[in-house]
Amino acid sequence: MELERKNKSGKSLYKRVGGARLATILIIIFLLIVPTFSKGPYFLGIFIMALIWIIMAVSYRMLTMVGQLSLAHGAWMAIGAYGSAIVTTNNGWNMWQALPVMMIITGLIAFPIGVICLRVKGLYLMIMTMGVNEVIKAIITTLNITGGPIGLSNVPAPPSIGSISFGSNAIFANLQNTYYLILILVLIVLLILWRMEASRLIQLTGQSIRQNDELARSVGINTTMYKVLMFVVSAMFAALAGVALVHYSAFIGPDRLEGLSTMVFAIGGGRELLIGPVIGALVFSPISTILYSKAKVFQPLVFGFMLIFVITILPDGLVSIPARIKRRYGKREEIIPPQWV
Amino acid sequence: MSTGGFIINIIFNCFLNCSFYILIAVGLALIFGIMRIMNMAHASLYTLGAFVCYLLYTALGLSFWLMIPVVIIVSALFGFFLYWSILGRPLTKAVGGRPVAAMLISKGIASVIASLLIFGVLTGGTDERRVIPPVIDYQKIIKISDAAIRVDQLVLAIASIVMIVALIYVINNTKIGKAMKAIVQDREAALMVGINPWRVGAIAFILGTILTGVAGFINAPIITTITPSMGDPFQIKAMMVIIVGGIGSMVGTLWAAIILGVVDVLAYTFTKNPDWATVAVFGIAMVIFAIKPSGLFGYQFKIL
Repeated sequence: MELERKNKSGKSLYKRVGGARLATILIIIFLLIVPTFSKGPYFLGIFIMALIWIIMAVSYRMLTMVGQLSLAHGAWMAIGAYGSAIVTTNNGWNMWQALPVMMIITGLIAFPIGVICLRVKGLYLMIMTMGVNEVIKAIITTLNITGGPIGLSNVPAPPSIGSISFGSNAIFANLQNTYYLILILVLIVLLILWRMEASRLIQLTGQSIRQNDELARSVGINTTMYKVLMFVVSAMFAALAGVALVHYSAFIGPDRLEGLSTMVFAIGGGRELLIGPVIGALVFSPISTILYSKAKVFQPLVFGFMLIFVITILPDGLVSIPARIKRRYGKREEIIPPQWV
Repeated sequence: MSTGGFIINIIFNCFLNCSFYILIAVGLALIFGIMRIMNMAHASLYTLGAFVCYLLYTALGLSFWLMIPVVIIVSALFGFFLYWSILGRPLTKAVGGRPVAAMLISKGIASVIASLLIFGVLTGGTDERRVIPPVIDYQKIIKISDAAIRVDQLVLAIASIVMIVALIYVINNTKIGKAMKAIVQDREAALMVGINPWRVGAIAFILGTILTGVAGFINAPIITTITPSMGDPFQIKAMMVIIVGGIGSMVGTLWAAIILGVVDVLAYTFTKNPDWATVAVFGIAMVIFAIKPSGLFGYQFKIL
């Protein structure tokens, strides 16, 4: 990351502005106190959805770390969600048994697809993953066990731990506990990713693959292996988000299968820092959740403008705003044009 | 039904389906080859053509043959507007050399167009589904050894084949078509000999939108139910066709459209389920892609 955006003083553009650590702490504190100032299930539901989108966007970051963009993320989420819904309603499993199994199954499905699709990059990869998404959507829509186009409902809420019981969207009780449960999942995912990024191996390899694929291969890095690894791991975390989603909302339908919104949250937040996708999901996903529940006809319109806005005006995401302001009103620096994948 | 009639029906359906694939994918391939923008708003024109058909039929009650020039003019005007206002020079200036960004912006435009179609007062407010009665009056049936073929579908298939042949003629035999080919093959050399890329791009864009608009218009009476998002599967299939055929190869696009169209029809005939047909189409595309990532006839352009 530092290599990518150096200015004359040799420091990273965003490290120099700083505040990333402070922003992280503030966001975590904000997320911890959200249920204290929101009593209604609707308001809390928006934030629970935001938490789930945070997992999605953060797992998407693993792909952007190696410079790839995929549109099949909704499919991985749906595989986790549908799988968990099926085993909990039909086979009597509980959420904690379904969670690791679904993550592993999604990883196993994502692996061969990743091997095939990641032979190409950029535009080709996006179109291929879009095709994968369509295939999985078609399979889910046509099978009986997944409820066809109607989807599955009456998925049980997460099982109670001791005396703490969890609510879901079907039972409007104890939603705060569900909120904190998902928040704990989010923090665990963030912790894992943070440690992964702190690893020198992943950091440097990801950087080299992102900046120059061929050069990285020429110095002996097995780029395909790293890309497939990141693809599979991000698919597994997306499945985790799907399991959390289905046990919170008690319902899953095939309209969840689109990867574009995850990408908008991840890129709209910013790809430079780990906190970027978190901010992106927190800012953009409430808009889409409110539209999804209140005014579904406005959704494509707002989404289209959001997409255009993010890519033309904020290609480096919300986390680049402080650096931009500083660049504008502070000392004139050399302007580095945004690099797209 | 006898085996012979069954086979004739399948062949006719393949013929019809492939012609739609070709109509949509060829326009997209042309735009992509010349402007290097994967235009995700391409299938919006398909939807627009269907909606124009609906409007003309319900509001004015025009006959089918009178509608064709109207649809061509509307598609051309809309395509010109799209090119001039967003997808032409402005987009290239904003995100030139970043094909992924250009593709995402055109996807945003497609979303906006779809929602404008939902809100359009003329299209009937927020009601998403509309039904078009079969436009051509003579719903006769031709019997070829007990295979029943609807005359209107035959006419539509022939109309689309005529358009494809006309397009191939334009590309191969006219000056502007040769300029298009030149830009696709070697952009710098084409600029060097004085070809204006913006003008050629505009003409290619308008040709592509006309083909797609007419495809939607032709398909609307066959599928009878139209929605603002009806173009999305065709968009993805058309992009698949381009990738499978090999980017930059018009012949490859034609062959890939034929292969995927035939696979689509066969899978639909034997499973009676459009979703399994989708799975089969993308499955075949994935297999071809896994064997030959540069496509059937393709050599990889440096677009990445």
